[in-house]
Amino acid sequence: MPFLSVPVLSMAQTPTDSLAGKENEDLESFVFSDYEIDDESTTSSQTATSLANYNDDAFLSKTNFRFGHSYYSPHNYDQMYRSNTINGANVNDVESGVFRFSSLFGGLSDASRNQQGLTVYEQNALNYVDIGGGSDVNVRASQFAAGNKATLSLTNRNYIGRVMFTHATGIRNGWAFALTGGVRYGEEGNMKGTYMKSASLFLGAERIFNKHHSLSLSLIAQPTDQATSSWTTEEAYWLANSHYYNPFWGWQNGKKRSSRVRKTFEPTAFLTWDWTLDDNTKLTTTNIFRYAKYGQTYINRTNNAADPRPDYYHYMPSSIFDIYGAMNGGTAPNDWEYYEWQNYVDYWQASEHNRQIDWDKMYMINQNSVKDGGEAVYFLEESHNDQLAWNFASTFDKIFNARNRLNVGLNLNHTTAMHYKTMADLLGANFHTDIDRFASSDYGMNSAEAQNDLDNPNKQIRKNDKFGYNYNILINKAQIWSSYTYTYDNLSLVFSGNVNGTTIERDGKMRSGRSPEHSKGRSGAAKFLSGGMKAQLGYTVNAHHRFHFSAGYEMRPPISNHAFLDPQIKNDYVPDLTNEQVFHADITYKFGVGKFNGQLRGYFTQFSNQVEQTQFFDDIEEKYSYLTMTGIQKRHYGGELALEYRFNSNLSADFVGAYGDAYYANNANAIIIYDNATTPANGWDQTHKMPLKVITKDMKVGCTPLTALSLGVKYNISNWFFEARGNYYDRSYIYFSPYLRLTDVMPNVNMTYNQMGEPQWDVNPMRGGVLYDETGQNIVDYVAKKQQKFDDAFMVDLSIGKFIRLNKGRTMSINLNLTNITNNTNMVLRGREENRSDYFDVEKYQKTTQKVKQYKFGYNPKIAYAYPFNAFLNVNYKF
Amino acid sequence: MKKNIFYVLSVVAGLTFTLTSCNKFDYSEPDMLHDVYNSDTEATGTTTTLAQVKEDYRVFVTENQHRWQKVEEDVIFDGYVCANDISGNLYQAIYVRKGDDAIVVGINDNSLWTTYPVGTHVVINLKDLYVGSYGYMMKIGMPYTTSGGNARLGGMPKFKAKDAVKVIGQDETAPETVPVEVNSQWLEAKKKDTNEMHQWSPMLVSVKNATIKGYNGRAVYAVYEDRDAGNGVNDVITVDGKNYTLRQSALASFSADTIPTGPVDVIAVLTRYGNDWQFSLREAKDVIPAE
Repeated sequence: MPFLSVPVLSMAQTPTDSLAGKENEDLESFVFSDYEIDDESTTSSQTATSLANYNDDAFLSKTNFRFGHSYYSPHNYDQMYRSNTINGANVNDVESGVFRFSSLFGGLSDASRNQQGLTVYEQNALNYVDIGGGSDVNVRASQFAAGNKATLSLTNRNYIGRVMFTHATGIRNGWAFALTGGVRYGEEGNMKGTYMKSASLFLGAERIFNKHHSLSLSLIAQPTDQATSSWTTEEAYWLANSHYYNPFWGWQNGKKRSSRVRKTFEPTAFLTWDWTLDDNTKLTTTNIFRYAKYGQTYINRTNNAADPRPDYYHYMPSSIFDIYGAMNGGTAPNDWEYYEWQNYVDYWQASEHNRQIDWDKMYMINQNSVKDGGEAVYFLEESHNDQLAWNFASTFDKIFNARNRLNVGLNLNHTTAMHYKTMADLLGANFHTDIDRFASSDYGMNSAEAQNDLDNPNKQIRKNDKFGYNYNILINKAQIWSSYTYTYDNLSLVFSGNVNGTTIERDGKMRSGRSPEHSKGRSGAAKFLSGGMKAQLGYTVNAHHRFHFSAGYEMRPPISNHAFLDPQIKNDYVPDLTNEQVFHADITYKFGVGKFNGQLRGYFTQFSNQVEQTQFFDDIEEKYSYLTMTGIQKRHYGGELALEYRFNSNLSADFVGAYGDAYYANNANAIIIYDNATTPANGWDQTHKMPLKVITKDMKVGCTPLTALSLGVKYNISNWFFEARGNYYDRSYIYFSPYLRLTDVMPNVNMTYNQMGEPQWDVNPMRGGVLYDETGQNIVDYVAKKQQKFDDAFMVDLSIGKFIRLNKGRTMSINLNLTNITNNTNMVLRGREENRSDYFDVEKYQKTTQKVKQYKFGYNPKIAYAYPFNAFLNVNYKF
Repeated sequence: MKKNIFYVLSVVAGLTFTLTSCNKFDYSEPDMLHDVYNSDTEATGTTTTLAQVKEDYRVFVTENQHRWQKVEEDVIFDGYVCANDISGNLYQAIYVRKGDDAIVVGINDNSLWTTYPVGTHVVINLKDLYVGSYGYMMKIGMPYTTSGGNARLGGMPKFKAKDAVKVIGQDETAPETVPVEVNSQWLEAKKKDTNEMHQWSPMLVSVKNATIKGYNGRAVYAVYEDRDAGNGVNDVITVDGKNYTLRQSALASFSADTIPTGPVDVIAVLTRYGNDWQFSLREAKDVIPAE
């Protein structure tokens, strides 16, 4: 059965009709789609492609659907390497590079249903696609089929219930209108102390003037409040007797209250002009205007107030004595230590109240302070990352003949990103004085350094006031791209290239006491000229076998999130900021023999000159710190396999698997700067007279399974649909701490020699070590601190669906998705090491000695368990 | 067409209502002071007094600076907090006073001032705790082993304190919050008598017209680099021409503050170091220019 079509050039950008119930396979996706498209339990950006239609890539069409829960991404790339477009215009956040799908389309399944998968090398008439592929959402009103649809969903995930309604007119007298909206609500999600309250609305209108011109306007708004859950340590999970313990919430006056509430609201307008010059020539132009509000609340406190987080390490039993040492044959605790340890354990386990945030106590403390004329000791602040963005994309598509096709496009973006924090709640107090508590401790309460805003010293902050920091990041981007496709007989060639320019600038709105000369005003723009090219050669052996050979080279500008050394305080750029370089190549083999078809791919990618930044509290220096790594080199390579066997039109089985590697290939340069100090950034190891380094070589890219396998069976009969999937994940590694791998933080070992005259040294794998030569100024060898690998994980999912035809053309579909039906509650899929050392320096008699902390951060990374068994029931009624 | 308009208007109206009401959450503010601090509850169930405890355990304090005894039965008494760790200058301890007797209550926790503000009325049960000597001062807590392997009397487990040092009310006007005014004559006289030192250490005291000089002539209370193994520096307080140690933590929130020049009135916790007196400030505002 020949099924591999030789590429044919045609304007086939027709999206799936979201309301047009089609037969069998399309019905199936129709029945199951709502669950995947609106699932926010995984990272939001990963759900973006769950319904994208990758017609010609069997691997992507299955993996994006199945592996989302494991945080797998194709080639184990970061999400910033995906292109996400709407009506052809790129909507990736230019600061982080990532698209938050749920912030825009949450609760709007029907508005985002018309998705087209975008692969890296293959021709598309929409935009230049990044190395991670991507997807395009078509939000034109004409693409909604006429009719009404009501949807009711019940689940036990982030929310409990969802109600949606969609109405579309179809094209009538040259006009098309579409409306979809809904509400998602969960007083408490599947994690205690979480909730979701969200409403969404999409309005679309399209005017088709004639066969040449149409104009589409779509509007989206979706205010969402969501209380989130936290990662915490294995010890805390053990004490709470649950892998789903969430320390972010507590009782206030008998009511649950979360300390971490995320508020998003992104009203966005899409204006698209489609100009069809003739049957083979088209110009598509889209403008997107987006005002994104993103806020997240945190509890903060003044000097000398206890940390309110219930899982703060001082409150953990293991802070009493070295319990891990004792378990490994070290010193056993004495009676007093054991008594105290047991006292902690008893307290944690005595009641739920003891292991949650004590809001009432914070109010009590604040009210006491007010009584004495004082200010807030504890307060709830909201950190804002807002954006005002304009995106423009114009794409010209020309088919010259059956062999030649040209695409040319222009992309523009201007974004003003606004970063500041506001006072969300003074928790019973009347004001907070805007000084930095760390700097005030170091420099004195009355020092200039303590002031966050020197122009308004000691400002009394009241509810909703801005304080702490306030700055804008201004970004401009322009890109010209082109793609040329040539097809001849069994050969196809797609050649694409782009040139782009980026400017990044910081505009400080506060004069910080720690950097009065460099904090307020504009930084001056950093400019980057970059670009890239890629090519794919396709060779179709016959109707059953096809090969693709692809390669590319890209220069990418750094993202602004990593461009500044200490963006909350000052304008200083990361030194030697430059373009990142990416070389990528893959070979793909697609085949179809009888009832058997599949795809095999091998890929290799090398990233150079990457920049990464971490913000953390350096508890040795007792200062908030930014650690920036530059010059990072990474390699990703591996193989991907997709197989499908169709027993008959009702029954099929498939397998998809990815096995690869993604690791740091060199030791990165490091620059560290203290947020609360006036000391300059430091990228120099004073002791060893060499640039400061992070021992990153051979560290794995974190929190993405390098092995992901899935076996599935599908069966349908009489409009009943059944699917069972078993997913296996392995070789997923924790996010490693750069701080613990700094050459001046890792143990430094002097070279010694054995009897054979060979250098020798012992290294504790939990700490790693750096070996220097006799001069102490050259690294001879090193062993990085061991990076934890999570245990392998297996999850079984089941889907059942029924499509029902009613009279008068009305239909109903019911589907039930059951995830993790074996209720495996021991799967750790995400986690990070803390940037905190297990050691501390003691200075005595002008000599510094290193001592061991009782609490072992090295044994207590913050981790998250995959969700237990959960279900999603969805009922659609079309009328 | 009318049907379409109806659909559109209904959905837009419904969602507009939801959009506008969605983000409003009301967490009523609890009146925590009403229950805990509105009035001072009379201590009930006490079995003894602080004065009696100081007398009963005198032998464990005055004869050896590292001696203690575990209390096996209920020994319950009350008192008022007269000093705490509000600035971090006093560390992991509150000072509880009743009449002219005071005691160090060690608790392995920070920010004790938030639970035990000055004037807090507490009832202490010594059962399962240790009473003993902390540099010849009476302290309640639990022993621990230093990194050098020596046993010392430290604080009680922080969660143990929730039961052992119960808050029953607050009275900021309690006599125990008023410092005992002392002068050099008083200080010199008392330190000659071991019993008097036992009686008056610790104690909340005040001195008039004193002067303070920073360690090594520093203009601030403490410089981090000057700190000793106990994270402190010894400033000098001069009372009526007599010099005494003003023990200052380099980690206190006011350590970088400038010391007032000229005569000052000072409120401080009086403790003993060996056979001499030592002063420790509770917070910077305990030092005010003398009238």
